[in-house]
Amino acid sequence: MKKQSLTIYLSFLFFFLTVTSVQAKKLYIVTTTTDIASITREIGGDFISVDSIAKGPQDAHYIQAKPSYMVKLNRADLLIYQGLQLEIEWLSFLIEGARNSKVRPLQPGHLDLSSVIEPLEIPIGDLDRSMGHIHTQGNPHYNLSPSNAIIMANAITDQLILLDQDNEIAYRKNLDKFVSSINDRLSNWKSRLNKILNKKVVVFHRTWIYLFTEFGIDQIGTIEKLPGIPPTPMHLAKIKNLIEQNNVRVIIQASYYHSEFPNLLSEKTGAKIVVLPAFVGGVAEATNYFSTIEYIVTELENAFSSS
Amino acid sequence: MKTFGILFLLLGFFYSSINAYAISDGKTREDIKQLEKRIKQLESGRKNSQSNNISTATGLSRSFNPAISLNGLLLGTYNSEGNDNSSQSNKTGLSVQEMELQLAGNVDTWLRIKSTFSMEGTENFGLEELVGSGLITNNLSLQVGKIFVPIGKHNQLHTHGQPFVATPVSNEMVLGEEGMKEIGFGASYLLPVSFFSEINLQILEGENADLFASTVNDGFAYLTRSANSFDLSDETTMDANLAYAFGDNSLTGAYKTTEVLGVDIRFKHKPLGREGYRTTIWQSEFLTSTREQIKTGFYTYLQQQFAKRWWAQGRYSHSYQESDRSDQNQYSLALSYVPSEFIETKLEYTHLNQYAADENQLFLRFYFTLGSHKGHSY
Repeated sequence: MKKQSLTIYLSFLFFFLTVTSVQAKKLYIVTTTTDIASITREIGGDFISVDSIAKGPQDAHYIQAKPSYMVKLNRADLLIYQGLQLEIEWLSFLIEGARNSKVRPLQPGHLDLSSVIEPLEIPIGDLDRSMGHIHTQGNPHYNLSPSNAIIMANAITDQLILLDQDNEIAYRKNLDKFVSSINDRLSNWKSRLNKILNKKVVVFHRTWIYLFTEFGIDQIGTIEKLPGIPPTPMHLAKIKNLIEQNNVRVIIQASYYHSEFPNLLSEKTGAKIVVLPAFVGGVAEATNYFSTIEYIVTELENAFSSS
Repeated sequence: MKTFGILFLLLGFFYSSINAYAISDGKTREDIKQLEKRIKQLESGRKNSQSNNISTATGLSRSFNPAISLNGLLLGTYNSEGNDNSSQSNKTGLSVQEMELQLAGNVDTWLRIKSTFSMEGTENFGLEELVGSGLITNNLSLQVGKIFVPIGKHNQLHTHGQPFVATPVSNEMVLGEEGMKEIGFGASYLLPVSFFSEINLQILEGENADLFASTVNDGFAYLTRSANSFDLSDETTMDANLAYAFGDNSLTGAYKTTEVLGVDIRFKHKPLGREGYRTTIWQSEFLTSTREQIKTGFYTYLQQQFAKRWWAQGRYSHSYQESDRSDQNQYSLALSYVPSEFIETKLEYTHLNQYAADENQLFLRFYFTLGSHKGHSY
């Protein structure tokens, strides 16, 4: 009788363990930015959990490599990052400190999304630090182009399937839904901004080039003298002339910059300052990727129309 | 009943077989997908690597070279006590406080090397740090080489990373003027808990003349450390670390073993979305050692970034040694201008209250980093 009970008990246990080991585990994904997190959530749905290291209001160039982020990466099945040196100051510390071989380079748990993007503004010629904080592989803010979001979503889908083949159908279905949502909205966003004739802008930092390329906005100058280097009085005077000569009505800056220099130029020229989120969560209204681009388009539409 | 048991056993076996088949089939498909992906990555990577190597005749070899950087610290000092006292460490005059040459990179798949050569003044070029590290299994990594021993925070910092020009008197008293840098090896293990908690064990040569002086004995020094970090919010982090080291020294009998204890705590606050403009750091450290006598000391400082390029800070440090019951009190105030992360100019005033004549010290230090220098850990 004892033997029979033991056999039954072991059979139950074996069956239970086999089933739960297959069904229970969600993929845990750590992303460097909130945009990647938002797109990953759209694709992964209920089969994954996602954490972003950078928070929406933060400048992703200058995140502190906190030990708590190492703990997140230590548990991650997949790390997805933006690349093009956006995270150059801090991500290698986190990967090293995480002590998790799954998320190290060349592993299936390591995805650099810039590998599938066509970068813009790749600097040419001899490069050195006198040129400011240049990104030698190209501008890393490609997340702000909805067309690039589709490419990012495709790469994320491939990686999720690589790690979790059982849910391939669900991931592909979510991808189709995401792509169709972006395409529907993209034509609407474009038609709204296409109505505006003068779309010349001055920006504080070169954050928006992918967005501008997508929507035909003409960036004619930057307030920073060089990337990451604040302007000199002479440079400000040059930008002021540029604004006046080209009838620029809008100055754009990311929410994580101080407005002192844009304010100065705005006072002198009458151009309107538009503060935009560079990432999902950059302002309260930007709760996911769709609402972030919607917010940006609406703000631009209002700024161009009212000026 | 027996039949019922066998039925369940068969069911379990049958299910696991299907599952194993699915995994095996999935594994093959996964391999193919991985290969396809690798090809795609190589193709797109080719495009990127071409753009990286523009205008560099040795582009390929450069990408395999280690990161090389040079840090320079040029120092102007005024000391109210003049230069008559030969034991005085900060003398009036101009000097190259230190130059550091650093080479760091991956040796192969398993080993990473960081080496730092330093030169104090314009002579005495030597090896300051050489650390090889590698991941053994998940959570466990090994280090070997000449190490800045992780006892307290200050002892782990290179000169250019120290927030004040004057070394805290607590560190000078307990760990000696050169600090605790030892040849050794160790392991660190990240504990599987919800916050960051790391255990560190190290076996060290024990060369430090003020503490161990292993050159005259066969013993090693041993260190154990617990490092912990807690996010109090998205904006505020608290670190709390405890380290204990012991080892034989040059003495015999009751004083044969030296013990060292280090406790440090730090709060760091950076407001979300304003990280580049505002930072507040409060850090304190307590050190004590026993070698014939008890030596103790502590410092506490507050650092405030009040604009993108400006920092202000103040520190109080105290040291005490049992033998002559002498103590030192050190007060420092500093203002730093940091136009970029590669340049810093610091103006510092330090008042040293001690058994010998009090000293007033004024420093003006210029710091630069040339080349590829990895940022400092958190």
